[in-house]
Amino acid sequence: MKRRQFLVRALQAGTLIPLASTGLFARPLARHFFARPSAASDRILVLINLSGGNDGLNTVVPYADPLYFKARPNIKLPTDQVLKLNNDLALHPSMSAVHDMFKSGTAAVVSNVGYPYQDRSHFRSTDIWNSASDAETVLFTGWIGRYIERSHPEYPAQLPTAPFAIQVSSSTSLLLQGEVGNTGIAIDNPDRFYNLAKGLGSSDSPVPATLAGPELKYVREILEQSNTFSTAINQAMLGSTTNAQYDTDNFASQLKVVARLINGGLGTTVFVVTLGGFDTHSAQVAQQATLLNRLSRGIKSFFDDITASGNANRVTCITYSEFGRRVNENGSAGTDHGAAAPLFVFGNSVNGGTVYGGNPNLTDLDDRGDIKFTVDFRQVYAAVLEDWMGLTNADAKNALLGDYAKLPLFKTTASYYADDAVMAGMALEQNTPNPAVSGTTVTFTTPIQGYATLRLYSTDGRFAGEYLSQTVQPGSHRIPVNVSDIPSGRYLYRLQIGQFHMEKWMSVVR
Amino acid sequence: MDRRDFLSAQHRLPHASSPTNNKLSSKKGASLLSSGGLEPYVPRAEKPWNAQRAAHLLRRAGFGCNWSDIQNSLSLTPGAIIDGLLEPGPLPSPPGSWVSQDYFQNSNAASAQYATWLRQLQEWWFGLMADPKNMLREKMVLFWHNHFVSEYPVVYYTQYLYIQNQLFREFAFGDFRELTKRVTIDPAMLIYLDGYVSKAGNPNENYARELLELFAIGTGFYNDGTPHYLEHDIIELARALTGWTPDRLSVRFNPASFDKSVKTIFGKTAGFGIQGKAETDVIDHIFEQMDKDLQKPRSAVFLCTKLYQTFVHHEPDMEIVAAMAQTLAESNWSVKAVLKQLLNSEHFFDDNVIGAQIKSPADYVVGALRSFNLKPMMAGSNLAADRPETHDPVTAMWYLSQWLFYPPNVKGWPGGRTWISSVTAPLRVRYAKMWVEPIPSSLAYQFDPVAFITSLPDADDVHKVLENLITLLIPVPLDAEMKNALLAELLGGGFDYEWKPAQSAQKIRSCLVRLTSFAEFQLM
Repeated sequence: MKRRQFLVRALQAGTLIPLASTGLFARPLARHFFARPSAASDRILVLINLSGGNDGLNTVVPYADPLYFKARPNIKLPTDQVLKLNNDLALHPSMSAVHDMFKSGTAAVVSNVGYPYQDRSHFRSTDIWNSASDAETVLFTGWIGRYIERSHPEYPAQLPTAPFAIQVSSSTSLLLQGEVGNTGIAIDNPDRFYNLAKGLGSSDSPVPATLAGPELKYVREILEQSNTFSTAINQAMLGSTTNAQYDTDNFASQLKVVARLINGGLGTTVFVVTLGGFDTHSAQVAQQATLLNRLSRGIKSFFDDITASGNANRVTCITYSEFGRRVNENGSAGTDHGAAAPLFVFGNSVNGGTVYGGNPNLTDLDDRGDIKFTVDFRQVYAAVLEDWMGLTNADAKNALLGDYAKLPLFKTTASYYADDAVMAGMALEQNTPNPAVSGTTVTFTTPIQGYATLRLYSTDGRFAGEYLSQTVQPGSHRIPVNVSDIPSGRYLYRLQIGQFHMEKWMSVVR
Repeated sequence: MDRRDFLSAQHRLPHASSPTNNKLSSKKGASLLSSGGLEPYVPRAEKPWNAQRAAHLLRRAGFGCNWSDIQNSLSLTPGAIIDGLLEPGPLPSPPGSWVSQDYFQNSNAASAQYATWLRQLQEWWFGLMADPKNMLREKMVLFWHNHFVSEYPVVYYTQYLYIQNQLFREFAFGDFRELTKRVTIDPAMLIYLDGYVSKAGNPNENYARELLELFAIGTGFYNDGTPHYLEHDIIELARALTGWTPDRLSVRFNPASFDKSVKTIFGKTAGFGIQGKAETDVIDHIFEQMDKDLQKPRSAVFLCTKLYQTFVHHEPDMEIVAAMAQTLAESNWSVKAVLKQLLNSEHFFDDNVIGAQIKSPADYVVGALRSFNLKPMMAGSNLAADRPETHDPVTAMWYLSQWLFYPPNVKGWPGGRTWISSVTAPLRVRYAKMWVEPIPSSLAYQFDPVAFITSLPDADDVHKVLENLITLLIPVPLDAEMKNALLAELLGGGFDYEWKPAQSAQKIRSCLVRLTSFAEFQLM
């Protein structure tokens, strides 16, 4: 029996095709591809889904705000136990490893993340986060699925040797769904996967012209993919070790699998892991402490592991949860479904030690008594796509299906396409004086001629001012920056010359 | 608006994976062949009552069949079989005497004790599913378990899970509205969704939200843009549901914890509560809400969408669903009336829908046991052992992601294509191999290949054997190349006139290993 060709789909324009795993239908649109195929980047994104709706106020605690204590007489966290991030906010006491990373600058907090018209259904809101849609728009594709498909015009006619994305689970979610196929596969145990999947195949005969046809096609594709990827997974497992101690809980085990595959040089770009149980309607204190401790310890083990193998600089981790929880506790020592909440970003390239998005404002709640968002979750995604995965702004907009002001979450990072030699010759100095009161100077060096801009952004990603916008010649340049008209605070200044950019922080005080 | 407009326009619409979404209702949207409606199926030359259709009925309204099940069915009319399926025997006796021990007697029970009881409960239920006498009833118990979800890791108290499971059995084909009332104050549910701690003054929203979102109404918007329910309805409903708590093996109403003041729900203000403990029954009120688009009770549309997806196809045909909802509403919420109409219909027996579902793990495991006449040993819970060949059927359900009493969340198993992934598909193939061709040190499933093949008619004719084997195990046509591959396994290099079933045990095993590795074997 002949092997059928991998995943070749004969699509007729305008027909509806059922999509993998969701049972939904989407129209095969004319596919848009990014202008530049993504270079052989070795950057990796690990998404950590905290499912159930993590209570933000008891994760990043506004310990200086009396309204917090008033709203939560039974579940408040004691001031003397929380782990302080700054004068206003502190981490849950069970997150000491994350606290250490924050202090060392490899973890950042983004506060008050949400979206307009918060949906309080677990399932709908999870879909919104996974698809990067508005609350009132139903999308049938995930933001990662779109990002991957548009970076790989050759897919699905050609399958890569390693999956683009892996969800450490027994099934994949909407997150990885693209327009023509699912861009990821589910793996829970790489050794077993290899043993079971090698040699699987299926017929290339035509499928029936009934409703059974699309289902049969789907099952055949999964069997084929499993066989195809089993080789790469096996090689990654054989060529790697685990270099850290992990706890025995399921979340730690998932991260251990991810680290092992990264250590083994698997070419997968995106990994997804899940920590569930955050739907704490009752008896919240003990349950959330256990879960946040698992999160914190798991992250530490994971970074220890990939640091030991020399891969840590390649990896960024982001947490997300479908919603935060109500400010006021309910009558059962728990909290009901809420709105905006903080998330975490981890990695050596993260502008860490910083809280983006400001403090939760407990005096200005929405009509259900929930925290209003100050950062749209897609501002985080935009930062990841542009400043971590290296997309152009236009391509990031295309993957997110919208224009969102990216947060300055990442340190000086050349995009994928940057020539290392150019970057080696570029320098952006710390502004002087810093902190700035009214005027300060930014000095930079460029080895190339190009159109340059110097712009300031606040910690929640808002544009605060432009101080240069002209063609510059190779050499050093001193740019005066007048900050007398902007409020006190931390600001990111970004130098962009052509496709290259660099960033640094400045403080404004008065 | 037809579906395509909807997809391209991305209008303000509910989520399409939700069974509430009646906007995806183009009558023949996904149909590639003409489809019948709900009128009773009349066998005729172009749509005969034959082995293929009998197997279809036995897979969809049960968990699969062997050849004698098919033969018995062909001696009856479809209507008579369905009537039989809808009249199950008495409720089964419990899995152990522990079910009647209340928590005072168990206050010192170790967690290992509850794990043991859970395992007994799982084996008991699995055994009921595998018993062909009550297969449609058990399929509905699984349906309700996945509709009114409770999870063992939250409820923990196996006695309550047993009570809830028997409630689902009692109401398998019963009154949906009455079942909703009973579930609302069911001890396992009161624990699972926090009803037991929801008190007047500061109620807990958990159950109220899921009652509307997942149990009785469904999320989404009507065509005029209004939502099916408001946040305000949840707030008020939570107050109406206060006051109930489990008490030993039953429940108790605490008037002091009940919010007696009036509530405004779906625009009506009254002293809402439940089960005769308040002026106005709030479940009755929920079930009176009309679906503005289809002009049927919203709860009927919601449930019938799910029933359609369970028994016919994951993409609901909303014209059929609307007619089912009409039946449900007119029959005083009788699920039996709806199932009888649906399973007897021309629509259900259309070629277009045969084979159009992916087997759930229950369909896959129970069905294989039935089809191959396997007698598995229960090996006890041994989830840590990562060797598929040691997995008994209940453990296999864990690895295939449908462990009984362990749904993934309050929405239940999403089903359909999510059953099949690069984790579960290779494992399914491996399990089938070990069922028909035991490997050393594996569990003894006691498959008898010769007895199996001679249970098929005309077993001395290898071509007829192959044809019947395919009819029994595969719901869609196989092409000539695949058939030839199976024939080659049966003959093992010999000629067809040399075929002797009694001397072909290993060849039969090899043929079944090949057949069960086909993607087609995953369909039903």
